[in-house]
Parts: sequence; structure tokens; C-alpha cells
Amino acid sequence: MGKKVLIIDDSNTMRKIISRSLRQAGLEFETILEAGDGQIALDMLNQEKPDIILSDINMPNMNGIEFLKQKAANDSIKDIPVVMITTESGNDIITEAMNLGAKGSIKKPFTPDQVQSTLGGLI
Amino acid sequence: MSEIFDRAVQFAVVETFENMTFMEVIPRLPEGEEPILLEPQGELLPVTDPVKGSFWLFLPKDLLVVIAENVYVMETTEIDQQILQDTLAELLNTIAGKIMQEALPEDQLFSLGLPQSAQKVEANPDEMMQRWFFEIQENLFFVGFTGKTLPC
Repeated sequence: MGKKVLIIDDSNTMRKIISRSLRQAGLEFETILEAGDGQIALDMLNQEKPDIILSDINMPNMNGIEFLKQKAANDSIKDIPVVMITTESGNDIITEAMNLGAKGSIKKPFTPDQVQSTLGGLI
Repeated sequence: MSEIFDRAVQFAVVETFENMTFMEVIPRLPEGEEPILLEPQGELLPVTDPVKGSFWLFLPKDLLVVIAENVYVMETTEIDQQILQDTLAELLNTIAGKIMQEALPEDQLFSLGLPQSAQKVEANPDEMMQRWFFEIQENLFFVGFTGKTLPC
């Protein structure tokens, strides 16, 4: 069965850019799922189990940090690796995300090589 | 004027467009008369920390349509105003974040607001305004900053 990725970002444009970067990084996914915020992603994860999740941090309704907290509390999805995609400054919020179970982070704007090196070992 | 900030702006704009749109950007100094953008599409992004101000991004509509076509892999007829605005907002969000990362010391935190549509650059009487011009495929566009002072 082909691999699945879930991209969580409130920007449709950024979801498209991430999808393209995944292809250019040589990471082939049979299914690319998209969610506009953390709550939509959680609802989607009731039905779908992607191999990896890429998540923005600043989103309306439910941000990336809250998504990580909710995900960690759900046995059926807590082990799915998550990589944060961010423009955030400083390391505090990235540290918080890592403490909540994120496996890595990528800062915008990112190159396909950065995507490959961060995600390659997780899928 | 700040050379550090000038370099940060140029680096951020070039990096963002090359990595997000795969388009080559050339920094341009405006010469002679004020450049005119055809059907300018604008966006502003507030800065709340460490200074109060706003970043601005204005592109001519034709260029923004081409960028959106590249990103969305859609025909021109499928590109609507919502897609154009979202593309513009995401470009500015990424550019602004990168500028602040490059301009400020590594341990200096910064905070940006939410992007919003803009018709023209506006600065309060006690604010400075600076613009940096660039060119993609012979189309001029600019990034601006307004505020009482530059972030660095």
C-alpha cells in the first residue's frame, strides 16, 4: 500500500507548496491529505492513518501546539510522526513542539533538500 | 537606513520566491520616476515585537497570476481572487518571517500579526516608510516597511 501524508496548514497556497516540495524531494506519497487547522486534522484522523504529518503552528481554531497535545492523548494516533513547518522565531516554540512529540521542524522558506533530510528518515 | 536590514530584505525575498515559486528574483534600484505597478495587488502584515510596524508586499496582478498558476498548477481561468489573495498573504508571511530571522540576533524573538489585504502603503505621520524593489521576468514589485523605526 502506498504511503500517506497529512498536511495541516490554514493556507491553501502553503499546502500546495508543501505538496510540490515533497514531490521534488523525491518523497512519493500515494495519498496527500489536507486539513486547514488542527481540529479538522483530528477529525480526519478518526478515519485516516497517514504515515507522517506536516503541521503549521499558527492556525485558527486549533493551532499546531494544541493539535500535538490532543494527538498525544489519543492512543490510535499518538505514534504518527509529526514535523512542524514554521516561520516562528526563537527555539521556544519548537522546543515546546518537540516536548509534545514532534519529530522535527522545517523553517519557511524551505528547499526540497531540507524536506528530504528532515522527513526522509521518518517514513 | 540599515545595511543589515537591507541585506535581510534582499536575501529573504530572493530565497522565498526561489524556493516557493521557483522564480528568479533580481533586486532593482528604482531610477527616475516612481515605478508604476499595473493593477497592484497588495498585502500588509503587522509587526508587534520587537518594534511596532508593518511589512507590505505589492505585485502587479499579471505577475501574481503567473505565480499562482505555478503554485496551484492551474489554468489562468481557474485562478480566482481568493487564490490570488492567499498566495500573496503566504508570500508576505514567509518573507517577513525570513527578514526578521536574518536581521535580528539569533536569540531575539519577534512577533508578527495576521496578513490582510491592502490597497496602498500607508504610514502614520510619525512613521518612516522604506521600499525595496525587485524584478521577476521584467515585472517590478516591491516589499515595504512602515514604522517608527526599523526592527534593527
